[in-house]
Amino acid sequence: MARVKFHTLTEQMFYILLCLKNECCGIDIMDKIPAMTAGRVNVGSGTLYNLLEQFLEEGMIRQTRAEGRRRSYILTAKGLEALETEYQRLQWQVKDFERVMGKEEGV
Amino acid sequence: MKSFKTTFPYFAAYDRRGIETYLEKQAEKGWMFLAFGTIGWKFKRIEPKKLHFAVSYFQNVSAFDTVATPELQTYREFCAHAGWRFLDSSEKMQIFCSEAEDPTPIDSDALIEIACIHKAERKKALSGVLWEAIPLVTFLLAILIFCASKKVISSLSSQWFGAAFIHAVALLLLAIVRVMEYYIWYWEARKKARQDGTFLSMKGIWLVSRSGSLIIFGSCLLVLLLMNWVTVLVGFLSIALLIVAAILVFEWIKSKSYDRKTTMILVLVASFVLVGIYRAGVTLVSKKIDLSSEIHFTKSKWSQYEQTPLLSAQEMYGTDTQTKSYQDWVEESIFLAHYNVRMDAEAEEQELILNYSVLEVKFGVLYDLCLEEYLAQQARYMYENGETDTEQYFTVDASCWGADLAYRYGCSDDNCRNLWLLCYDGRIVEIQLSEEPTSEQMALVGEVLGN
Repeated sequence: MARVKFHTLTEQMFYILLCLKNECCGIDIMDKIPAMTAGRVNVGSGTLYNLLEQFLEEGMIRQTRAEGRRRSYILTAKGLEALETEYQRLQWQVKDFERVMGKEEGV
Repeated sequence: MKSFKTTFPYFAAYDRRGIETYLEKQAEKGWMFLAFGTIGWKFKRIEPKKLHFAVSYFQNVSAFDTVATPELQTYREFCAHAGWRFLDSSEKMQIFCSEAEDPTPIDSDALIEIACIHKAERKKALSGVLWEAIPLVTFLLAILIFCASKKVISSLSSQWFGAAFIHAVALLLLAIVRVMEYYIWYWEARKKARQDGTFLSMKGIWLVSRSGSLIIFGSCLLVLLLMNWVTVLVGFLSIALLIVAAILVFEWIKSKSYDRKTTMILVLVASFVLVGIYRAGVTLVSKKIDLSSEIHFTKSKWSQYEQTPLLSAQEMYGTDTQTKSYQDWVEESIFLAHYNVRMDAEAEEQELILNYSVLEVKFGVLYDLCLEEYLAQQARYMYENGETDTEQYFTVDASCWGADLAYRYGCSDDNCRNLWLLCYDGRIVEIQLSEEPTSEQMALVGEVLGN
């Protein structure tokens, strides 16, 4: 069965949306993500550009202003919902992991 | 030591790993990629160093853009922010370079990258192949087959027809291989990206498809060379000239920096003009170059010729016979060989003629088609009294000729010409004589022309 677009978010998608909780220039996201994750996650410039375009198309972010070619974005309600859904999914994954791994250790 | 060089590597447009590796190796050898030239890739001499190259695909670019669009400029700024310096582009493909030790790749998500490549290839190359090359070539083949069905023998024995047919088949096969190669890579790459998030190099698929393409190309070239090297040489030279002319015209139009729409229209018009010139040139050259054998022909009654036809007038009519005029020509292709002889002779003050053609049918499936064309020849006569007669081939006894089937041209047994059609294994002979042949003459024809 084909995966519904953005039904689950990759790590890069997740952090891009997270960065856009507050208004942010697209190009600055490239620096914010490694800073946020202590260098653990990096987003390629091309991937970032493409994802921003896709998020715009899906209505998950909206452009707030444009200064020349520098465009700023912010999360929309739809984007926030996708982020929260992914957060919940990750939470369940963590709980399932703790339950299973904790149960095996207890045996 | 030279400071610049041009290379001619051959990569599929979506073989980014192959291109990146190639550029990195060149840098290690002391050659820095500069730009895509009109023909070839330009490099300049540098100190050998380890550099990282990245090939990325940007969607909203057209071959008819003469300057970078604002979106493309933004894209390049994104990459520059990450330490990737833009070098050059070839339509949707962008080439970047980084001197950092471990730069973050421009495309860090394999699935998104593959989706970008797919959009680029679908629009540019695949649409060109699926919606232009394949239909065009199929249409060309259809025209060739239609022409052949109307005039089977003259079409199929023509070198140009044979060459055009082989070209068309080769182009069709190469186009199909191109499409298959891409889709096999695309499906495999998407599967791998979903499984482990990595980007599939197309090396293995590339090797198989390029080998297939080389085999197709090499086989067709061999067949064409066996036919006639002049045909091949003229064909390749004319196509090479067309390609060079097209590139020069296109680059000139792009240098004028018109907008996309104007560039597109100019390129379209130029394409029609160039193709028209090419067709006219090929037609002119084909008329000038005689691909048939030498023609020996004279109107002189007294000339003797040292020709060695398959069947001479002397063999047919006797050693006292003198040839007055002689003409022969051969048309041969991979499908048919058509050998024609026209002879006027004289013996004991009697005018004699010996005209024959031998059609060698190289593919059995074509035999009946060729025979049907012969048999379809008809002439209708209307007389003053209103009666009509139809001259055509009718069946006669084939055994005297040593043939499988024999036909004679005329209205009936009592009213017929000295023109016969003889069917042998893989051959059809049409022969015209001065008079009714003897049984010895018929046997001679079967022995000499039928085998």
